[in-house]
Amino acid sequence: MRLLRAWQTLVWLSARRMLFSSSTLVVLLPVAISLLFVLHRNYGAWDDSARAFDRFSRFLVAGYLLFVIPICTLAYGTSSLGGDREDRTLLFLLVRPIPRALVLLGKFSASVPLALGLLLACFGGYCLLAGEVGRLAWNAYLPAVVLSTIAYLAVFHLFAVVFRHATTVALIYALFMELVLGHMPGIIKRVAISYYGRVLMYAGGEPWGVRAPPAQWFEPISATAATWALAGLTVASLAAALAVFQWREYRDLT
Amino acid sequence: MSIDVARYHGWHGKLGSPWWATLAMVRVALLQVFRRKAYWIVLGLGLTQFLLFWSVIYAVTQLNPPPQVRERILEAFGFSAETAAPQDSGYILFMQRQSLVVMILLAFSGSLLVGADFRLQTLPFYLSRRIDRMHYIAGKLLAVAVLVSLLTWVPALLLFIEYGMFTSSLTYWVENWRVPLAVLAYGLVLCVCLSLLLVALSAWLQRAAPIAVTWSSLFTFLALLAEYLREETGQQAWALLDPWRDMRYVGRMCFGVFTRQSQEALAPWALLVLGVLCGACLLLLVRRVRAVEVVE
Repeated sequence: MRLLRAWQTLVWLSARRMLFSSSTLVVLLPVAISLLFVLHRNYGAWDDSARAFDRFSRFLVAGYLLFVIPICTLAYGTSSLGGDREDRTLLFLLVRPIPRALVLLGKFSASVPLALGLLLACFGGYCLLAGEVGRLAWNAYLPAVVLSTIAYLAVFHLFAVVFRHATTVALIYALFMELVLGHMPGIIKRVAISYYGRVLMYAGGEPWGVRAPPAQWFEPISATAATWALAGLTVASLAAALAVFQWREYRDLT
Repeated sequence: MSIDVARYHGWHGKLGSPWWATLAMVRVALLQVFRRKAYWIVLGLGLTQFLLFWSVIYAVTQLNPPPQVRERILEAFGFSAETAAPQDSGYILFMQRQSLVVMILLAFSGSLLVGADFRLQTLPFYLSRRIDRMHYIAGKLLAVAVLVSLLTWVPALLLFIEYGMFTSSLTYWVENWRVPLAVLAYGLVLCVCLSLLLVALSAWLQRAAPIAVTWSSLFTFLALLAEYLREETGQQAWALLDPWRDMRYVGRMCFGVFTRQSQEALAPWALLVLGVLCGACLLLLVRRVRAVEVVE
């Protein structure tokens, strides 16, 4: 019972610290830019709704899934534990009689509602602005958004546990691995989380005429396999992060 | 015992200009950067591009491939087969292709070189010396500019030297004497714009994550949306939203090489956008670096 209360306090404290931080403020920058973009394009007023849905989907895949989600999750995922490491307050957390696994799970649990809430709110905002097309997109792409967000958060928590300069590594991953390797031909793109997110989005938009890129550039797997892959990546990353955090001796805490 | 006996006494020699302190700041900044392995990885990524261009130049000048193959390779890398031709823009292409690596390197460096001074409150140590905020700002800008230079115009100049050295005379250098000047001018644009933007952002945001998010939003996300808007509306002016493209247009203006008519028309506007952006950054920076922080 005491552990549960300690965990609740940690989640609440971490969520509050992350919410009222400069990360939240700067994450609003890409969100606001996207919002202005959707407002300018005014997809709801297009005569050809199939074309409007296709163009809105293109924006959601290339802008929202490939950039906004990784960047927002990077801001919260690396700063949840990385912030304590950077501020040298992790030591005070670790000397408390709380198991290390619970500390990490508390940090992860604090970042999930924040990142997911923000990303779903802005996804909902875009869909609302896009009118009827947006309503279809919300239903079609919601699973991809939720699963990708949680997977990114888990991977960035792993980075925060393993690397001292987690933001640096996460940024290389988000901009280089995800953007560059994710667009290469062959199966190399399967190392990127965004690949599975894109598979889910293309599968979701297929009934409304959204087509995946040509097969020589993008070979989709089934939506079920992509869902399992994202869930597996989340669980594996969290398990790896828990294992490292449990056994690692941090020498840079003071 | 007088204080002089304890070998503690004032400096009686002639004092140097405080502007020399900016060089010390650059030296310390470079030491800080090169002490970390992650930065070497990013620099290594930047070097791969340089080695690729180096190999291409070596191949076309030394291995004597059939003329058609040679022409194709040079075309792919933006070089002209004819030394006297005006479109010798492989150097622009090289500097453009370095943009991702430069962006990643600067995203990390901002927090380390500038943000930490504000976050860990070490700015008073700088300002308690014989320098004022202008020297501090100049030192930090110079440090970032050196990092940008290491990945952009310095390797581009090395490629120019290499191209000339692999030919049998000085003709290439003589006939393309404008190229190194254009490389330097484009390099100057990159150094000024990027260093002002990064130092201003880092001074305000301080931590690595917010700086990285804002930096990548400015340089990756705006580029993506600008391209979309340009494609969908057919209005080329949307390209001005992308700061990299603005710098590229100004760079092309330095080289006098434009691949499209629209680029030539937009280049002066790009210069104006960059000028306004740099002016705003400088104002923000001067406002942020204040001695009042020391009193607080």
